[in-house]
Amino acid sequence: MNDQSTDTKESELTTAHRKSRNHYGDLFLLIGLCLSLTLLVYSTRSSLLRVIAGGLCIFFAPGYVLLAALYPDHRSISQGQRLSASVGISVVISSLLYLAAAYSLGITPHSSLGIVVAWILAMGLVAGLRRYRTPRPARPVLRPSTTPTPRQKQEPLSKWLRLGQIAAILVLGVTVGRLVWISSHTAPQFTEFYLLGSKGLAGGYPNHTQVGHPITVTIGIVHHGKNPQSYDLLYRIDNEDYVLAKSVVLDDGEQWESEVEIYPLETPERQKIVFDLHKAGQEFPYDTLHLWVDGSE
Amino acid sequence: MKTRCNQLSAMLTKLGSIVGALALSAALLLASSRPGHGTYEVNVYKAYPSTFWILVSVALSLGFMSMFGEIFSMHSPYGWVYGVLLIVSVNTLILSLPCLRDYAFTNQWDDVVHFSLATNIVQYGQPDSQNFYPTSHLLATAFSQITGLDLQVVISLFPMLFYLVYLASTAFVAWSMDTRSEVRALTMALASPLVFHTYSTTFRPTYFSVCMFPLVVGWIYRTRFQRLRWLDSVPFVFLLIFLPFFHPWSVISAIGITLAFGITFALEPTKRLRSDSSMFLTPVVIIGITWWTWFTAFRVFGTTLRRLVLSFGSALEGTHSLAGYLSKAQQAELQLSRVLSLVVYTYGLTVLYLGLAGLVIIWTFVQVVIRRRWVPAHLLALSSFIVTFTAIAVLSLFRDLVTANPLRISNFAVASVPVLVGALFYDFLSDHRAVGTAIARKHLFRKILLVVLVSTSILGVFVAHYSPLIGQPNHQFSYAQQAGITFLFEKAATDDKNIYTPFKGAFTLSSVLGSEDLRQLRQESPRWWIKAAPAHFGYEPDELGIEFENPGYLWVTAHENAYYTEVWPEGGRFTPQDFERLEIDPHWHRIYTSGDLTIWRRYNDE
Repeated sequence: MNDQSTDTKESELTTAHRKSRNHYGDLFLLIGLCLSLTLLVYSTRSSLLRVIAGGLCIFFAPGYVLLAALYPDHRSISQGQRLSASVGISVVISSLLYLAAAYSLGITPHSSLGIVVAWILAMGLVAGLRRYRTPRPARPVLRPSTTPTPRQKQEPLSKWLRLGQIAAILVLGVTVGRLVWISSHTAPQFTEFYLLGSKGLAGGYPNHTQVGHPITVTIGIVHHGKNPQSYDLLYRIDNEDYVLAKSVVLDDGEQWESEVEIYPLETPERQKIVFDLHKAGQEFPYDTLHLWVDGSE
Repeated sequence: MKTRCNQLSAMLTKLGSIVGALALSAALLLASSRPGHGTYEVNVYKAYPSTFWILVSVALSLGFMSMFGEIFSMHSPYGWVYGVLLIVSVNTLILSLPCLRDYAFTNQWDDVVHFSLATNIVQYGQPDSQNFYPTSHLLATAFSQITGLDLQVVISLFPMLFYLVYLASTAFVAWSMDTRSEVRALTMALASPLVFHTYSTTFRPTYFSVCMFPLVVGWIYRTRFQRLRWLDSVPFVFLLIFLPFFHPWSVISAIGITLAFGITFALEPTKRLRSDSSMFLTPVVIIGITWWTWFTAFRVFGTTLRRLVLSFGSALEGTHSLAGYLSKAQQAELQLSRVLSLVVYTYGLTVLYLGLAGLVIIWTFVQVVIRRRWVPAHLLALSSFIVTFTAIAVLSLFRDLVTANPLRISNFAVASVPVLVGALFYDFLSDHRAVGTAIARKHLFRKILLVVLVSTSILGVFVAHYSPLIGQPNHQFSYAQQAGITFLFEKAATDDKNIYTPFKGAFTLSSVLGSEDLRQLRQESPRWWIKAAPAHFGYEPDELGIEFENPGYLWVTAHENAYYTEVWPEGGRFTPQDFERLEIDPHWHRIYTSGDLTIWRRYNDE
């Protein structure tokens, strides 16, 4: 069983080898990938193309070129082993390269890119030279088997189903793209609401009141979200509401901060001053804060 | 007649895979109609309607059915690839949910700590002086710099990327050990479910070590069984040198599996392999020396060693000890059914996979010990490795063993299962040389294995993220929570008053500071070792807040709130009433909120 399978593979490889004119296509592809990544890194901020190219340059190419340099012929490592081992070995090689860089050059955006590109180019060159010295029939050819099985030839319906599978993959690809696009265009939505005491710090809040004198506190809002939002600000003592600010419109990441004066009740009791943040058009507060102050004697 | 049946089965297999892909597409459409807003959600499984989860389960089931159809009837040599791609696509979607739903981090602890260690590299160009496993942080940093992705996004993406690394590593072993496409396919089918629980979604170097483990097995097999030239062993040597910088458990597992192979070779009765047994010493020496030289330079070496000795000497129990579990169950007065469901959801997948391995281990035992027949060396080596690591995992339920969680160790055993059982299961289940009733029996067992794999895969999806199903609220760390931590760090009054939170929150500050900076900050002001608030916030019948020691700030996250008010409202350190009392407690000003994090300032401090 095993021998038969190996023989079949040998004949498939030979057939593929005869058909293949370019024995260095894989290496050229990876070197091209490196150069494209370099261009992308220095020309775009972040893009799907850059993520894919970067991912391949860290998680696939370093191992692949090493294996190509070490095993220039197809007999010492099978196509499946070569491709699957490339991933794990890339993790190993990338890690060791960055480890060496960390304690010598230091890790910077330039060294991160440079060191991995240098490795791929150097190993790609070694692999190319070793492959050049390998007899042509022994050189590895990365090409899926195109020999149709007898049953495939007999079944026309099977062809339609195969087409259906390809169509389903395309549909899947489109939906994946849509999900990624939508997710990359959303932003976290929340609002920060805070009180600051003296010196603009989260401390030194007024503890006591004096008759006829207001207490002073700094109040702030930071809006996070794609769309602008309008806020109203009130404070409440003993179920009585007082407006502090109306229609404060904030954009994503925008901050509003203001020092406000509060007039507590003239009572010896400790009283709770509640600050309500309302989103425009909403009856109930979006969030609340409170301070406790001792009453006037 | 038989050919007709074969044709029909081939068509159904393909049709199943098409429907599976369409089901997944529909699930993706549903997911894109409900994008996340980055704020805390207690249960990610409730973020989408049940239709989404049904579609996901259908896609997984059809993926496995398609694979099995192709494996056992072999309509085309690589027809099974479509099925495995479908399963991997579904699992990738599940692992990407934190990124798709705009989480700042997937996990409240590990992710933020490792983010801090990676941030240190961005800031200073090299790892923190106390970072004894820097490679995953270096990789994450470089990946972020090369792709232009935010480092936080990279931290969330890495577990998904390492799931793919695990699959590729398993494929390498499968391709190295057997030339039959069917065996390789079955091994991949066994490797594809998400069997590592919440480890699959968290940035943990231990989990990454598990993902790399099949690669170690593959290279041992390749270099030691195939008698390669020294030059051909170069990748293996690189791998051995790399492991000590990855994680100590990757070293222990690599030494364990190498010794298992060495001992198997030494015991081989025909003496065919016995002469090669000494070859296993070289890898152990390389990895041992590299690890010793590296690891002993760190302070953590001494503390780890002391902890390990203590765990045997004075019965030091781990944070996940069995006694701890039982006491929690008693406190919460859980019903037996709830306890059982928690055990199934937490350990079910591991037990199921180790059960599959158990069948092969028993078979190996019978062959070697009772029938005196030699089995392939890798079966014996992997069996002994799985038994040893399972035993250590069980032992860690009673002793600390510096493991933190038994699953951390058992995951190495689970990662070996597909490689161990793939070939043997295929030989047992395939129709070759079978006649009459044996064929019917084999078909039945195939169906049982299919059901087991489909159930494992679906269960794997539902335990990959922390949720109330496994007795935890979502461990999501939101941007709103991060904003709150930043506020406190920037605006806290400069005094020596302590900072409290319901859980011990020392990790949390890592979300805004590099590890070296954080260490320096804590040296200057120990208050930033955030303390755990006293149980029930110290509330007693007539006194308020008496148990706080020099209190300054108290923060409560949405995660902590959910833990004590929604998931464990009874029997915990806090109750929902405690949180209500905090709102009316005149000793605490409520000074900051971002929705997911609320900060309180002690009244009597001014």
